Amino acid sequence: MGQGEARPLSGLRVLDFGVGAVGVEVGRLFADYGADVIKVESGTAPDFMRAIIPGGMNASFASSSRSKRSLGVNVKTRRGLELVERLIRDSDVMIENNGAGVMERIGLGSERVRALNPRMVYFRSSLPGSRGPWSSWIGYGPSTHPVSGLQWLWNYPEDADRPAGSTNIFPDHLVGRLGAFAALAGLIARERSGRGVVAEAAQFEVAAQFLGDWFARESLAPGSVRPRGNASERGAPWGVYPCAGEDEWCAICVRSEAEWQGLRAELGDPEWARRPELATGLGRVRHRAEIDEHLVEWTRELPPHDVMRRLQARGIAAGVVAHAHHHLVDPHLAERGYHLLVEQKPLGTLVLEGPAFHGSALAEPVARPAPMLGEHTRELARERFGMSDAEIDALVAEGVLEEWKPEPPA
Amino acid sequence: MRLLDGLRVLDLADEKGELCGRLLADLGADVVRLEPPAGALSRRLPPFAPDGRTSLYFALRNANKRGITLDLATATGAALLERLAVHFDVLVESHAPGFLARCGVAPEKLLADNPALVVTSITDFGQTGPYRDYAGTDLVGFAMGGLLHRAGAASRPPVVAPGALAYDSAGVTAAFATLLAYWQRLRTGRGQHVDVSVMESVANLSDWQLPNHSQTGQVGHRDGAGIYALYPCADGFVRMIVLVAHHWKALLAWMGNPPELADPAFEQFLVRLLRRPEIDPHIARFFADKKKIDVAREAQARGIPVTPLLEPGEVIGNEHTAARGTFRGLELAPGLEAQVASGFLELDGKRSGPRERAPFPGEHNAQVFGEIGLREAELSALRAQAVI
Repeated sequence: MGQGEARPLSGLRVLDFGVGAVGVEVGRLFADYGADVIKVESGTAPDFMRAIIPGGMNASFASSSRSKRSLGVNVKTRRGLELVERLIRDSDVMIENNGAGVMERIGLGSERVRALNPRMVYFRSSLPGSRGPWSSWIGYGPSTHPVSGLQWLWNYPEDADRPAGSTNIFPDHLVGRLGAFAALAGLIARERSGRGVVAEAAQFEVAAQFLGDWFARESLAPGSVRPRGNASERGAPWGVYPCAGEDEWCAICVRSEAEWQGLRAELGDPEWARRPELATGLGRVRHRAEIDEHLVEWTRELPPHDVMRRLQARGIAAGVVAHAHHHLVDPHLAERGYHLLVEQKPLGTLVLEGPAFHGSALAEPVARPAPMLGEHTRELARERFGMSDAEIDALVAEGVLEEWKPEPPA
Repeated sequence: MRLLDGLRVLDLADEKGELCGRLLADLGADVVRLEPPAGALSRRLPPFAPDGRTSLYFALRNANKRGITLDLATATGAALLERLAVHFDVLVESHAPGFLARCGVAPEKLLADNPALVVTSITDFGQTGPYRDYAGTDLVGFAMGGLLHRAGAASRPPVVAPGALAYDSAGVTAAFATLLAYWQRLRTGRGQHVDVSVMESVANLSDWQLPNHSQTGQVGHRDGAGIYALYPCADGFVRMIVLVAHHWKALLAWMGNPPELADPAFEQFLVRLLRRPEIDPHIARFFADKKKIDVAREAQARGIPVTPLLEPGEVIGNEHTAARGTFRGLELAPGLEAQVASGFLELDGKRSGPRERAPFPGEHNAQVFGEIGLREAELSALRAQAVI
């Protein structure tokens, strides 16, 4: 891993108007690699991720706004808007994922921002996108599942008329990564052209892109694309199998003849597995239900990690259905530096998600605590606006700037 | 002009990393997909076109790329890869850890020849750690990454998402990681080897479960649609996410302020969550005789986040996707025109997505190998040896 390297995005100034997850995660990724990311926010319209739990700080927010600074400013005041416009003139990247027209109404829509700073790389995202008859629709990550086709297809095959549902916020975090990719591409292009760009991702559309091959098939053979559950036409057994313990499961995929032989050997070559109709891949796919019945008898006696280790030792793709505790104690994630510790006031020590990649010459992310609303207002007003404490006090008193002050010790 | 015009990418990634090169190509990079002479494994992955042969999995993830073939398992092929890599800015690959080294073209060697190269490796578990040599699939990545655990009904097994979300998530993550390394190279002149893990790419999407668990010790469980409730309508379902007080007040006003729901405590999200059995029957009754699209339109007009549950055909054919051009016709193979999702991003208002169909195996051999100075006689010899 790259140690002692300068962080690649240091020197870049990012204005993060994100709320919830999408924009906020773009800001986080830039902060991870050294950009100076300012979360621009106001108590008059707080990010709902701050507000879901009283106190203005929670583990989700701490993760997604790590290493940022917070500027408390009310852009609905004339003076507040002027100050933000000053920041826009000397920043490189701006991120927002508010509902349709919100930034335009404030006076910070992409046209205005481009006029203020033609070099700005502006990433914006909303559920429906900024064009089209549903462009005023609001929603959250899970709201994209029904309109993108994801929800209908994300189901057990026998239940097509009864949606299974999931509580994953997907695709928000992934749109965040896509946004960070788009913003970097914009910065790379700017090195040549000197001009910024407005990049936009409609969240429902991103979810649909991932199903692009299935939609292509649907257009060629209408009605042919159905929920498929955990099975695959690529082989059998292929699915999710219950293991010993409460709600513990292991995914198992047998892709080849060699892997089937490995599974037979691991199970002690039981009689059912020797039947001639299971000798070919096609035969096993045809008799998948029968194989599953037998395989479950074996898996349900073993903890999921034992199933995984024993099958992997035979070269078979198998993996525990992990939840957060599995991730916390996972030796692989630990060895790869995935567990990123941060002292987050007032919550205590948190374990954050570390990077999904490393580079041989890439500085590893270091997490600093997420800010309270307005925690860096004074620091930033001095640094970026050259203000005196008296000027800052006056603007705080007028409600233009908002400043967080630690509780005095009891 | 596109954002990544001029970026040269050699793309060896198969199945688990093909979207990375597609994203770079969408934005204008010249992406050359390198496959074995017999064609990539992902050409044999479902879903297939109705002809039963054309893999739509491959077609969608390799659009906008040029195609060459090369057998890396031969000494001649490996030497040619080394020669090729000098001409590229980025090399993306998804072989098992150690495979390229065994072929004599370890990333370190490619970097020694071309110190400015960014080599991005996409593997199920990464280049290090105890699971490094474990076998993976999209399902295993989705499971180990933590997204599978909270998908599906509480009383049923976890159910995996459609498509290849684990592998495609790694593709998006790898595209970001690649540009990050390339940005650093623009400043320092030095490339590097980037190690992307599918498991960690998925784990990064698991809704901050890890930090929340580290604080509270709690583990989220599978609970169907859970707090993001689905409600039946006359012709299907809608999802309604009443998160904040003004959503709730707007819903009550629409329902004619039923007295049973008048308790002001319901304005708090946590109270509504705990007392859902009191609330849901009223909502279900109110939606029961309405069409899902009408429910969504009226709710949205009132500022309530409701979206209709659409089947695939309804996604392709609705007024919003039609107006946006979410799908477009593209010839995926000779005579096979399908509606394809038209791209992840709009840049300055212009869609950035599939423009050219995926290449046939080796379709651009003469062109690409010609560009690095191979003559026709050399190409014929390579063809004769089945190296390309």
